[in-house]
Amino acid sequence: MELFEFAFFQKAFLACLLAGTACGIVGVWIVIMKISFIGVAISHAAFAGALFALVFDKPVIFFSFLFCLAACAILGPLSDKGHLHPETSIGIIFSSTLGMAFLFMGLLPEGKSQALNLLWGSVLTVGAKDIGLLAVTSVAVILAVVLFFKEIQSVIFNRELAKASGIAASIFFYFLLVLTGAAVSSTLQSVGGLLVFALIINPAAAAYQITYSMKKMYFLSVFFAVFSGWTGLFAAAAFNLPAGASIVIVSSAVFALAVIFSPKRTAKKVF
Amino acid sequence: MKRKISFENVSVGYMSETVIKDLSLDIAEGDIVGIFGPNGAGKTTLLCAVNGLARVLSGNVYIEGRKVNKLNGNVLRKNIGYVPQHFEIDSKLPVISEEVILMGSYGRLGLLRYPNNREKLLLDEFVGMLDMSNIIKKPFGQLSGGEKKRVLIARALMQAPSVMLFDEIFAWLDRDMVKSFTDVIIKLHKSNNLTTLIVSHDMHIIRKICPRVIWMEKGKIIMDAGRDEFLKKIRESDGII
Repeated sequence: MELFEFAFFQKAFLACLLAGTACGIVGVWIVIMKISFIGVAISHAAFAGALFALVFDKPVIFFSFLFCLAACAILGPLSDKGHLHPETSIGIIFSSTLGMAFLFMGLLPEGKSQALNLLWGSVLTVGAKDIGLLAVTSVAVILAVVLFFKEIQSVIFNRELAKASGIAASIFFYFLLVLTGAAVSSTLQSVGGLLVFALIINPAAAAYQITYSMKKMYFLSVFFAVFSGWTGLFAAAAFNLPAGASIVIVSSAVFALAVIFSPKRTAKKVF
Repeated sequence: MKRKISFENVSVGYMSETVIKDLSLDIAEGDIVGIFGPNGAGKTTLLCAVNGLARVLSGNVYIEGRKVNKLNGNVLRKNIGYVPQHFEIDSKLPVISEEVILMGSYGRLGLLRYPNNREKLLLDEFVGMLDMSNIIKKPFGQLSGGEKKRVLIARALMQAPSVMLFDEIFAWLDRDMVKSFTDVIIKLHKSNNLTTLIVSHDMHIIRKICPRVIWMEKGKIIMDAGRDEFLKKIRESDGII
């Protein structure tokens, strides 16, 4: 408990709570819509944006968010109007942003340590600005779910049926992608461009194994994400491990346990 | 009789393929019309043109005199119930059947408004009518094909629509289920004062439910006639009935 006497640990603890909340909620949308690869694509877009900012000496957070938004803005129409499956358009964004990230990394005038920090994240060194950004994103994501629960439920259940019943399904789909981008870019500094993907998918996938209620799935997913963050943080402090990697390993363990003890394992298969 | 749905020289397509070609059609309010034809005739595309989900390449579709376009599509669709042909879903999906039914009311209710007593009453009415009391608390993904179709019909009815579109809802159902669905559709059509379009390639169902039949082939209407004339044409063409 003496860890809490340190300001850096207090900030890290708070960052895990906020990042876990945002990623846990966003993960529910991603897992139910079965577009898990979107996390990878958007996180690489954020990474490329951050590297772009480093190369040209611009604000890192702003440009990572801008690249995320651009990726999201392209993903939706590509899958809608380009007659491509969402997974295909996500694959295109993923490879393009990865290429850009390596290009900007090659152009970095100084060492690569800054770039690697963005890739792996560093929850123990988050600043007040990062916490503020995480808080804004978490509140935005929570508000979206509270205010538009029924529209979001309908769209992630089935976009075509949602549209057929008079819901602006495409607008809500893009809205969810943009919020996903916001969650990814705001957690870039703390969890890292690579590891944020696990924090989005693993807790939501674990919750998916346990409940048939979407409301409960939101709560469970957030609980698992925050629990993974805090447990990973304590494990990192206790055993001198990298915090980001510890968080991801805990979230993977939570998923494995959820699969093993899932009440849905015995559910009948319907063909 | 007041015109409910009108097609004026409508062509509809997906990517480079034109599925419906220069089709004109009027459907009056309160009609119950069967859309008959072989696979690939453009029957489903015709339904999707009515609710604005298909890409109209040329011509105009009107609902109650209002032209369907991208801007008013969502508004018009609130009044059009649609039951799709295929509906694949993960059996573990965290949504129970009652929620799926209520989702039908979400577009009509609009933003920041949630189902209230009216929706609860409608839900109870449709659950009774479609004999679903034993399934509404079950996860939707765990239902059988026939049960899922019942839920999707109730979902479409929750929109309180004036037009209902049924796309091959009898496919893969056993004889008892077909009989039950047929009775339900006739009852719903009458009690809710609907204009109903039923796509099917089963002439027995079409003949039982629909006084008017539109026969489509290769994206065109080859016959638009009453039930008796339709049956006569069937007999003449291949002598099946």
